[in-house]
Amino acid sequence: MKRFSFAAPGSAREAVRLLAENEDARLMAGGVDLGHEMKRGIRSPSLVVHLSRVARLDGITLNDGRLEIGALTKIQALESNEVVLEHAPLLAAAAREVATPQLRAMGTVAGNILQRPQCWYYRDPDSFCLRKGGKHCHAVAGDNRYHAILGGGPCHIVCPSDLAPALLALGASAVVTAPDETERTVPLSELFVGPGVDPHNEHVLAHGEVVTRLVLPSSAGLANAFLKARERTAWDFALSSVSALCDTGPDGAVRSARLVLGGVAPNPWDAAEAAESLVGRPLDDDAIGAAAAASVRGARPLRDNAYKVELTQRLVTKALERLRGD
Amino acid sequence: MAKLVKTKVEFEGHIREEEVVVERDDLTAWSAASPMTHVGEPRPRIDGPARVTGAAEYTSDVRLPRMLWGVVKRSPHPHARIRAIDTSPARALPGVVDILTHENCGDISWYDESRLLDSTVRYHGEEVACIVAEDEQTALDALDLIAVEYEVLHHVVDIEAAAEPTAPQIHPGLKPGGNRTAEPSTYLRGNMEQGISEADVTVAASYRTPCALHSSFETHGSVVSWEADELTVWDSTQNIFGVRSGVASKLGLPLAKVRVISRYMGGGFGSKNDVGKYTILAAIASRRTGRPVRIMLSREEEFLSAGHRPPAIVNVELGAKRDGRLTFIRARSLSTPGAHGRGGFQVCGPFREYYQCDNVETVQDAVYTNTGPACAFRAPGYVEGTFALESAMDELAGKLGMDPLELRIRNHAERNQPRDMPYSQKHLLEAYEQGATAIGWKGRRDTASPTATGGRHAASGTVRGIGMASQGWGGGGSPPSYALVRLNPDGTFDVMTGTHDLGTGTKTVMTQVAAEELGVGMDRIRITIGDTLTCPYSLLSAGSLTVPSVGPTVRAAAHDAKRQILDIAGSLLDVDPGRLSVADGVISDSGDSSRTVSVDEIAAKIGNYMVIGKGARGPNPSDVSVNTFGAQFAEVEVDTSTGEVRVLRVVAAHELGRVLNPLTLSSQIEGGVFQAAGLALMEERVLDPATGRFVNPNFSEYRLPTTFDVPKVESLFVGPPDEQSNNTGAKGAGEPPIIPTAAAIANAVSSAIGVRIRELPLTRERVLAALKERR
Repeated sequence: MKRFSFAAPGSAREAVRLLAENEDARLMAGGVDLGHEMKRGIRSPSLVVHLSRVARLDGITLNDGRLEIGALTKIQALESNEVVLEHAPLLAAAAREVATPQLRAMGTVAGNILQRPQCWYYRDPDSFCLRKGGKHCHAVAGDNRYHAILGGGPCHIVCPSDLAPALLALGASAVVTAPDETERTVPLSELFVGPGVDPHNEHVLAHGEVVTRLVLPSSAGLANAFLKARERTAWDFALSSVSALCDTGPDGAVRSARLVLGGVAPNPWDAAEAAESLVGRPLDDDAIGAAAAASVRGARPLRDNAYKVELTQRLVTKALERLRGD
Repeated sequence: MAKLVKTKVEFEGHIREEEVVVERDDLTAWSAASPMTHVGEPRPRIDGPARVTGAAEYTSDVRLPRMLWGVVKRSPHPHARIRAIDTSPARALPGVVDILTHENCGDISWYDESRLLDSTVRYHGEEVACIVAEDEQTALDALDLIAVEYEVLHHVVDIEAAAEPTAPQIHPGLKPGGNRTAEPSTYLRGNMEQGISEADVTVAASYRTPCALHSSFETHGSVVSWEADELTVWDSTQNIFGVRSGVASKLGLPLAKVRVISRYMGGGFGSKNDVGKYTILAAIASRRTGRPVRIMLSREEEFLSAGHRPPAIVNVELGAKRDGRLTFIRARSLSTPGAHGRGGFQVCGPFREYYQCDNVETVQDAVYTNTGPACAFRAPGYVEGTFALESAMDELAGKLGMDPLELRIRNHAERNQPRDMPYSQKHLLEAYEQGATAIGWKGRRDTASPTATGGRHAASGTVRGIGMASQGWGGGGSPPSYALVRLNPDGTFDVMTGTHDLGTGTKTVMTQVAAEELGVGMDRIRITIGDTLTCPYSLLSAGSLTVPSVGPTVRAAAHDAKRQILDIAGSLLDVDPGRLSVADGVISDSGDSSRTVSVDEIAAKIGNYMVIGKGARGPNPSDVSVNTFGAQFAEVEVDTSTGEVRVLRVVAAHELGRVLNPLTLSSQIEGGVFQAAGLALMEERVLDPATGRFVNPNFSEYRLPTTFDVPKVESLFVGPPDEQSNNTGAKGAGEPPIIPTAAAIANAVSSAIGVRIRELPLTRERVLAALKERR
C-alpha cells in the first residue's frame, strides 16, 4: 500500500469540501472495498476522507411509510433490524448473503452499492484495462468465466453488490449531497450507468458528491425472495443473484412484480420484461417458465460464461417458486 | 552402537536403498497388549495455550534490535529478459539502506539452471530485486522507484500448449520442441498386449486436476542475523537441517557457522521443505549492511512464488474380466514443475500400487511452463493420480454393472507389487468394511432420487449420492533421526530432537512417547525442537515421516535414560536393575514391591551428575514394505437446478498403525479432508491465457473452503499397531487423509447425478453441463 493522508472530518460539509479541494481524494465508509483496492495498488489516493465521525449518517428510520437508511449503516444492521424485517424483508435477506459476518460488521450500505467491480483484470494492478483508462477490455480475450452475459461491452464487468439489486427492486433512491451543499435525490434506476455510456465509472455521481442516505417505500406484506448462486457457500460474490418481489391479488393473479439480477450485467439488471410478463396471471409453472426465459432474453455470453445464462434462469425459476410459497 | 547397514528409504512415493550408519534399536515394539498410560490417550496440545494467546513466537513475530525490513520486487511478466535496472531513485529515498539486483548479489545458482537473481525471468512473480529499509513502508515505497526495462519474451503457461513442438522454449538448454524437463519416466510390469487381449471390458478416459495452492496460515519468510561470522536464521520451515545445509552451500559457509531456528510455524504442507530465496537475499543484505534483516512474503507473493500443487492431466485405460479382475492398467500423466526445478512427483504411483494387476504400464511426463515453481504439496502426485484412478475404477464398475466397492475388494493387492515384497501388515479390507457400515453404503441406491420437490419440478430438486475411494501411501518413516533426554536434578526431563511441529501436534505426541517410556507424567517433560544448534539431527517433517521416524527415536532416547536411572536405582536398592521398573515416577522391584525409590529421589541424589539418554531411529525392516492404507466415503447433495454441490459427510477409515493421540490424529484427518474438499469443489489458480499472469492471487478470488463448505468428518482408526514398522508401531498420518477425498466426492456426485465429471474443481459450470448431458 502506498502512503496516504487521512482525514476524519466531523461533518458531511467538511468531507465534501475536502473532496472538492483534492481530485485525488477518496471517500471511505467502511473501508472494505477501498482497503482492498489500496492494498493491491489499484488505487493510491493521496488523501482518504473517512466518514466515521460524521454524525447521523447511519441509522434506520420509518417516516410516512418510507424507510430511510443512513449511508453508513452497517450491512450487519440490515439483517436483524425490525423496521427492515417488516418493511423491506428482501433487503434483509440480501444483506444476510453478503460476504462474511466480519465484513458485514465493517461494510456499509452505500459502500456496498458503490463498490468497484471485482473483475480480475480490473483488480490486477499491472493490467491497464479499459475501465482504468486503457484501450481494451481484457476479459474479451481473457478468462471471462465470471463476466457479464447481459449489457456488456465495451467493458464486461458485473455488478458485485447484493444490496444494489435488492434496493433497485424495492424502488430505492439515493439522497446525494453535492459540493455546493445542495441535495438531490437519484433513483437507483438512474444512479448506475453501463459501460456503453461510461466505461470508467459505474454510477453518475461526480467527484465530491456524497450519498448520505437511501430512501425506499415500504414493501411490507409483499412476497419476496433473494437467491444467490456462488461457488463458495459464504464469502463469495454472486455468479448470479435474483431479487424478486411480487404483489398478488386475492384471486391469485399477480398485480405487480419486480425482478432484478445481480452478478450478470455491469449494473443491477432490471429484468422488467420478465416481471411484467407475470402481471395479471397466477404464478403457475407456465408463467414462471416464461418469466425465467424472458429474464435472460438478449443475453450475449462470452466464451467461458454461457453457463450463467442457464444458472440465472434456474435461479429466477426458484425465486418465483418461492414467491408462490413452494 | 553404530553399524553400516542397507536400509530402504521411502519418501513421497520414491523408494531408494541407502547404505547408512544406523544405531541398533534393540527395543521391542510396544505390542497391542502393552498397557499404556500416555500413548493412545486424547491429550490436548501442550503448546495450544501458547499458540492461541499469541505467546508463541513465530518467525514473523521475531523482532531484533536494528532490524531492517526487506521486500522483493517481482516480475510482472511471465517471460522476459532484463535489459536494465535503475535503482538510483530508490536508493535516494530516505530510509532505504540497500538494494540487491542480479548485478550485485553474487553468482549464486538456483534450480540448477538459474540464479538467485537472474537476468531472465520465467514466471509472473519471479524475483528481480530486493530492497532493505529502516521500516516496511519505506521498503514498499521504494518498490515502484526501481525502474526495470524488460525485453518481453514469448510465454506459455498451459501444460498441453507447452508440450507442443512449436511452443516457446523456456530454457535454452532444453532439447528443442516441447519443453520436456527430462525423458518421461516409465514403468512396466507384465505384458500389456496380453492384459489387453484378456480384457472383457475396458474404460479409457482423461482426468484433470487444477493447480492448487498450499495456503499456509504463515507465509514463507526468514529473519536473519550475523554475529561476527556466525549466521542465525529464524525460518518458517519444515526442514531446519535442510535449510542449514542450503544456506551453508549457497553462501559458502561451514555448517557450524549456521544456526536455523523454527520453534513454531504456521503450516507448510510440503511448501517449506527447502531453503528459500528470501532467506539468502536476507542473509546477503544482512552481511552487506551489518544489520539483522527480515523478509516475510505477503499473501500475494506467497501465491505467486512459494509453490503449489501443479495441474495434471492423466489419461487412464483399465481392462477387466467380467468378474471384475483387472487385466491391465495403463496411465500416462502430464504435469509441470513450473518454470524451474524437476518436478518428478509420482502422479502414477497409485496405478502401480493400489490394485492387484499383472500388467501395468505408466508414463509420467512433465514440461516446463512459465509459471511459478511447483513443490511438494501434501501427497504430491498421489492426490492427482488417485482422483484419476479412483474415478476410472468407478467408471469401470459402472460398465461391469458391479458395486464399486466390490470391484475394489476383488482387486485387493496382497503384496507390494512394484517392490515385490509383502506388506508389514495391511488392513484395507477392514477399512472398507468399517467405512461402508458407517456411511450406510448398502442403502446408498435409495438416496439417488429427488427429495426436495416431491417430483413436481424435477429440475428444482436435490439429489444425494455416496461415493468412495481408496488410498495407499508410505508413512513408514526412516532413519536418520536422533534425540537426547536429560534428567534434571529435580526429576524433570529435557527432551531434544531437531524435528518440527507444523501445527500437527508433534511436540505433544513426542512428549507422550517420552513420558510413557520414562514412566513419569507429561508435565515433568519439556521438549525442545526446531533448533539446529541445540537439537540433534532429525529428518525434514514431510512425507508423513515425523511420527514413525522421530517417535521411535524419542522412545529409544528415553529408554536409554531410563536404563541409566534404573542402574543407579539398582545399586541404591542393591537389586538387579533388570528387576526394576518405573511407573508414575516411582521405581519398584518386581520381586519385592516394598522396595521403591522415586525418580525425584534419584535425581536429587545425583544432583548435577547428569543422566543423558541418547536415541537413534533404527533401520527399516528389509523384507517387508511398511505402508498406510485407507478408504474414504463421501455423501453429497447436488441441487439439480443450480448445480450446487454440498458435501454432507465424509467417513475416513485409515490403517495407520498405533494411534499415539486420537485427538491430534483426528485433527490431522479433518484437516486433510477439508483441504481436499477445497480441491474438489472450488480451489483453482487461474492464469490469464493472453498475458500469462496469475489473476487470482488472494484469498478473495482464490477460494478456500469456509466452515460452511466442509463436511462433518468421522474418523475411524483401523487395524492394530504395526509392530514391524518401528518400536512404537505408529505410522505417519500427514498425507493419507488428503489422498482419496476428492475422488470420493467426485464419485459421490457422479452417483447422485448419473453423469461423470472428469475435471476438478466441481464448479457450477461443470455440474450444470453434466446435468444437461443427463437430460
